[in-house]
Amino acid sequence: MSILSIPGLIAVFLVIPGICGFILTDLLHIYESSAVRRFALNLAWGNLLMWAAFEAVAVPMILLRQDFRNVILLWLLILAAAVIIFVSARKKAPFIRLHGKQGKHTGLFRDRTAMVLLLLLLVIAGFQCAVYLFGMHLDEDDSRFIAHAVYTWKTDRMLTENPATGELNLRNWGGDYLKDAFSPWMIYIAMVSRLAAMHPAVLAHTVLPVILLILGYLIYCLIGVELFDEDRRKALLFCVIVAFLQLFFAGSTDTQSEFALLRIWQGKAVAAGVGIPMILYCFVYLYRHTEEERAFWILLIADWACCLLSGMGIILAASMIGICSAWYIFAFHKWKMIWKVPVVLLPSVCYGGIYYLCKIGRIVL
Amino acid sequence: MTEASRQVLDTVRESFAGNWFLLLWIISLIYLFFAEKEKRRMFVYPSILLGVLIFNPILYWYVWDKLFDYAYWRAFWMVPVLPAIAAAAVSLAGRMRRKSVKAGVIAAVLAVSAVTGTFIYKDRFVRAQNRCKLPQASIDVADALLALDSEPRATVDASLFCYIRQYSPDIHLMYGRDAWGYIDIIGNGSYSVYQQMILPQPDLSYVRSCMLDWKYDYLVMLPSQAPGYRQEDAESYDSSFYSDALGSAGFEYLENVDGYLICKAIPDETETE
Repeated sequence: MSILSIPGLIAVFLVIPGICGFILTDLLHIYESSAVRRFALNLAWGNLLMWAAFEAVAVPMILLRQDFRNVILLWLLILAAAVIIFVSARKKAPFIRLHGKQGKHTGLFRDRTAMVLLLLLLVIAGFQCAVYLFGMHLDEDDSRFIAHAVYTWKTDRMLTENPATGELNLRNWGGDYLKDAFSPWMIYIAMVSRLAAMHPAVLAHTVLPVILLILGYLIYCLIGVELFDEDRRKALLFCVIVAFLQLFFAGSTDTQSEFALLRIWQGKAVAAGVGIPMILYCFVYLYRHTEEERAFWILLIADWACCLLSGMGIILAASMIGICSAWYIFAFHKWKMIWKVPVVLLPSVCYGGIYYLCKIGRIVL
Repeated sequence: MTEASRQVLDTVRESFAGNWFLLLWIISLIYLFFAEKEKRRMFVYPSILLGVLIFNPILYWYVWDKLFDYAYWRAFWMVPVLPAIAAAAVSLAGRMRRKSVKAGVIAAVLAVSAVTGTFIYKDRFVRAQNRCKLPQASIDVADALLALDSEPRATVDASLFCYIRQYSPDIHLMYGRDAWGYIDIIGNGSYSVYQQMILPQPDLSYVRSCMLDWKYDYLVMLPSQAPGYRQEDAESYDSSFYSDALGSAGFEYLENVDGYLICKAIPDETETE
């Protein structure tokens, strides 16, 4: 990592998600009641939109064995086109819209209790980030994920090798390697590494965990905001408690926190630490703002983004969206929205379905 | 269905071993159900629904086991355990009037979680040795191999093969994690070499012949695997010992990097010709 990496990192983790998130939340009328929360919301949704766009671009390109550089180019073009179309379409409309309740709160810096809670959150989350920054957790699964990313970063070829040995494997993907073709999170890591001029192992083991952990806690803060009627103190306290509980939700290697705090750079762990909390946030938001039916479409992006993360992301997102949507329709009498459920689940159904057909040999890649 | 119930219970027991968070989740939902009526529809009922469906033996048998295969326990991530406990704690504290009591309630919840849980970082992280967060020996060995050849083909010790290709994809290995049965089925030949290389004294002539047959040039091994190595004499061994010992097995000793010997398989003269 050099000083040259900083502009790339700021672009990929702050500017692009900020703009993408703004577009998405504005299109779907998902607003928060303060600029800070809107910023958090934009960052979270921006990242998910970037992941969804990458999944849409990368999977066909991988299956067609295209060059990695084409994927980057196409992905950037799609995001740029979205920004241009959005800006030209919304020229005359107010550019930043917030919920009507804006202004009822005092400023964050004047609220001493909120500041203390924020400080507590920073201490706990900061400790977790510091562990990722200065510590080293060796995970053998990286011999697959990070080796794939490093190979792509270096050679511009995607998933054409056996990551364990480097042997070319152009004919087909065996076993779990087939899942990587449909959930190429490691290729996303390779792309960010390329854009930030940084070795993928450095990005994955040092930079990405901190970003993803912060993103996870932003989402928990937003969940708290929705659960406690925009009471800032309660939302922050909620997040402080979640952050603290994560530290002790261990004992077996299977818990959500184990994945979020020990190896969040891996796709399945991103699903545990960011993807699932984001889906939970979507539903808490939908259950609270029942009149905002347009916001339901955000689940399409959430599902699509989770498909990028891992095979488990495909299944978890589809299951959770399916169950929670059923509750939404039943409990809030949204019978007219039933048709939207299969539509938002399309990414999981398509990627999962094609994966299954490949696995049983009905489709030969 | 008894079998399904037993498997669900076993998985729940294993996944929530070492903490009481499942119990705390149930208590939290019961509390929220009675204390926060307006949150029932937006949080409590959906959480119960998720729990009932995910921990359900019938659904396990017909759906989850098929969907999640070996990793049914990952379905538990969908159950909002931590948010429910946190929401209950915040709600309970919110009902107290005095700030000190509020703080006491939160402290009690955190203390119960800490005492009944397991600290997640216990023995899990070590101090980073480099920016890549890989064992320093794997990076040093990789650099040494890359200094010898732009695309070296090597057989490396099992303690290194998971990390070397995370550093450089230019190094090709005879076997990697696949030797442990991970995903790919390793070829019989490579596996037999791996089986030799995990022995205290491998048959290096067999390893060499396989390496030459499959065009692998470099061998990275532990000093204790050199022919004639005796632990009691280890301190007296220098590079000439390793040169002789490995030379007798058909290898050219090159260097010792971070406690790993790097050597090159020497083709037979007839093969060279």
